Amino acid sequence: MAKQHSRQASGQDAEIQAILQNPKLRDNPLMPLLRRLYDESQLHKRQLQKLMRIADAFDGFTFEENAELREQFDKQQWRQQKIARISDMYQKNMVDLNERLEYHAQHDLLTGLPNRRYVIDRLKELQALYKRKQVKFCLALIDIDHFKVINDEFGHELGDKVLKNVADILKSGVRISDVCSRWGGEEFLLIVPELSVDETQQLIERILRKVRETKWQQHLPMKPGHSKVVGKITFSAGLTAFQGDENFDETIKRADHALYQAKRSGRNRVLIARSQRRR
Amino acid sequence: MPVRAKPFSAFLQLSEEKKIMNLQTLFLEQTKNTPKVHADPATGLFTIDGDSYPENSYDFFAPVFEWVEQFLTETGKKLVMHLQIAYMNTSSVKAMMDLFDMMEDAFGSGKKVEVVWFYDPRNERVIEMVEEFMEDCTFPFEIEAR
Repeated sequence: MAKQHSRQASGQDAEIQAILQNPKLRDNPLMPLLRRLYDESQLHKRQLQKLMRIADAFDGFTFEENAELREQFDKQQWRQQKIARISDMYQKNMVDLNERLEYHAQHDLLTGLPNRRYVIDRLKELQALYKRKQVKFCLALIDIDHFKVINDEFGHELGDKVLKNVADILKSGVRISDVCSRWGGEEFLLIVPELSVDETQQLIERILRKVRETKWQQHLPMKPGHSKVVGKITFSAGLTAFQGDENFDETIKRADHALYQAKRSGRNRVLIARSQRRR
Repeated sequence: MPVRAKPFSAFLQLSEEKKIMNLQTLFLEQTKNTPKVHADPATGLFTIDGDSYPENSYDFFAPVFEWVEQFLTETGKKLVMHLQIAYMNTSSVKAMMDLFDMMEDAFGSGKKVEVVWFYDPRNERVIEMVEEFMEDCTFPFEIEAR
């Protein structure tokens, strides 16, 4: 099939070459222009033939003198602009779609927060930045207390609403330079650059207070009995500072251990990892 | 057994069928940068489905033009074109305009043609591009979500 087409294509080409070589038209002042348009693939065979016929009929006339030719060329030019315009729209749409795809690959659909993949990339960057410029940062793991009860007793729909609302409070409580992400399940990971552990603890405690004081009944569609459990939502957090010569995996492990301690000592609190490193 | 002469109308019918038979089904498999193409001479349904940015647009579209031209000149049937193309490069845009020109000419000389351009509702902006194509066509042209 393909071979047949290339034969036909060259057949068509030969036919057009014959038109372009026509001695009657050779000296026509429009020939160079027509040849150029054809070479640049701006004209297909039928359009070229039509223009040749017109050029033939008005042999000797210049482009400017002939209204019909002028109109034909204007039409061609307009067509070229249109092709370029549609093509630009397709390119732009493609770029936007790719951006959207990239955003979804790095963000959690439910909360809109950056996801684990995004955070790991950021941690790699921050680790490198620490090596170059000693920019310190703190890392905290935050886990909603008794979330399993909410999910099991009242269903995932309500659970998702709690997650979304806590995420919104976290987002509005941190600075623009901080990274607040959904680490998985009901767990969030917070990266706080350039603050000490004590300052970071204060920041997270402020957020915890806001979560605790939120009147959830107003935010969530609750049935009688729900408010006993969902009425007061709290979280526990484990917090630590990145130590310059470690891998961020170790920082996360330390924060996770502090989170475990916070849960064990009664939840609803923010604990700093005291044993900074265990080698 | 005597051989009965065929009525003249049977010849006419035969020659019409023969013409259609000459025009075969066109099927091009979808590739990474070219859409799936399927043209059925029996029904007159021509579908192009997928993104189009071939390395050599002329080679890719040559059989398409050839089939459409042949269908329009050799059969009296209606040509229904179903398109679903989310992305096209410049030369494919040009080819598509040439194809619509060809259909417009046929429509002007009394042939029945129709285009339905389908789009994914998640990518609604395609409508803007299709409307640009539509602008120059006087034959029936629909845009539908699928």
